[in-house]
Amino acid sequence: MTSDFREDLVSLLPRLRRFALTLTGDLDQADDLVQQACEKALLKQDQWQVGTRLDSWVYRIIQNLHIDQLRSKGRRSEYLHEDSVEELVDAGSKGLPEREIMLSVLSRLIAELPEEQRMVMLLVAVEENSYREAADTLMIPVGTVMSRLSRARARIMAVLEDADGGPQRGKENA
Amino acid sequence: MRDDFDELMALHDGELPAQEASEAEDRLDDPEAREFLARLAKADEAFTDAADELLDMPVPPKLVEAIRQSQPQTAEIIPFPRRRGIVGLAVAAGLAAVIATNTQLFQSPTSPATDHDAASYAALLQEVMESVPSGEVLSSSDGAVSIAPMVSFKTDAATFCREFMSSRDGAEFSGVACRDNVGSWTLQGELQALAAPAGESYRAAEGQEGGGKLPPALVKAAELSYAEEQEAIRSGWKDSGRERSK
Repeated sequence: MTSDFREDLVSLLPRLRRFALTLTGDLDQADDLVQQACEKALLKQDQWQVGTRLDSWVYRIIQNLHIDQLRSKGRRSEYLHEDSVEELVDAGSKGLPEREIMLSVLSRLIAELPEEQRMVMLLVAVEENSYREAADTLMIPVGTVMSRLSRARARIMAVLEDADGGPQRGKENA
Repeated sequence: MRDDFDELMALHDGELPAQEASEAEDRLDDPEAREFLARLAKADEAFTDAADELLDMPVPPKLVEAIRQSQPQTAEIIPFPRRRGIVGLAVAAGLAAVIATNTQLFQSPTSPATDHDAASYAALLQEVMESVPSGEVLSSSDGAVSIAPMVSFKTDAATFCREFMSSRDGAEFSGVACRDNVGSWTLQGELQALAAPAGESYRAAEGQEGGGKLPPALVKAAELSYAEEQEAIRSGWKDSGRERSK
């Protein structure tokens, strides 16, 4: 039983890492969070209700650990400001190949959206959670999920449309 | 218009009840609504493409291995009911918090106690308790002993006390020290072992309530906030509510 649960966690790892990475913007930090969350999940596996989504349950553990860590470091809001995004992108050019690839993707996600908007986009638009499920995972009201989604999408639309109206359209016209 | 967009978004996300969904669909004759939905779909697609690239990252074998090998330690956690600091840390660190049959730090089987050890420990404890903020670690000059305060609190009698974790030769302990009115920090009760170094095993305590022998006054003590603790350290643990003459 335990080993099945463990293997279920292992098979969720790519998605757990994506969740943690979208949350933190840092691969090492994301892997630490995922590992801690899985250890915690193993410890508390009897609290997980069979038939409910294991991924959402572990996401919530990751989210809680992340909040605890930010609190203990006493830096809740300065976390992923644009400066740190730039630092991440800069660091990527000197980093390991995997990190570089990551950062090219991450920079697109991070640079365009603040953390709270990235998280609702990931859960609702990508993972097709309902607003209620996303609200439960992120521990926020459903109305907040909607307003964050709405802002996130407006921002992405603006970025996409800027890109369309920029060099690409110029090329077509040329 | 804003509300209309929110409704269209809810429609797009499958969040509208049947009746409302059907009404919203009726309004899709409006080119502006259709265009908005198309832009919404494009935004989701762009974000999903980026998110899916993250999914393709190979999971480090080290991480898989760590999860396959991790030993959940459910049975022996100390019910340390008063404070969250130490148990939280012990659990976070994946330590089995067992009570040692021998709880005195300097009666470790690997290294007999000496007066010198005890005096060095007391000096380090004094230094750490007096000046190191919770969450930071100070080690002895030879690196053998480390002490990290976890949380500070003040008793009803306006005595400052601090919970700490301490390690020596790989063994982890927790304890509480209180400051007397001449500025000496004294260990309260005994140190509690949190984890045995590899190769040593401790017998889990049976029926021990709370693990420690804390004076009842400490159980009710008020935890200091980070700012209050900073201020206490800065002022040399001067009690703002009850001035003492030194």
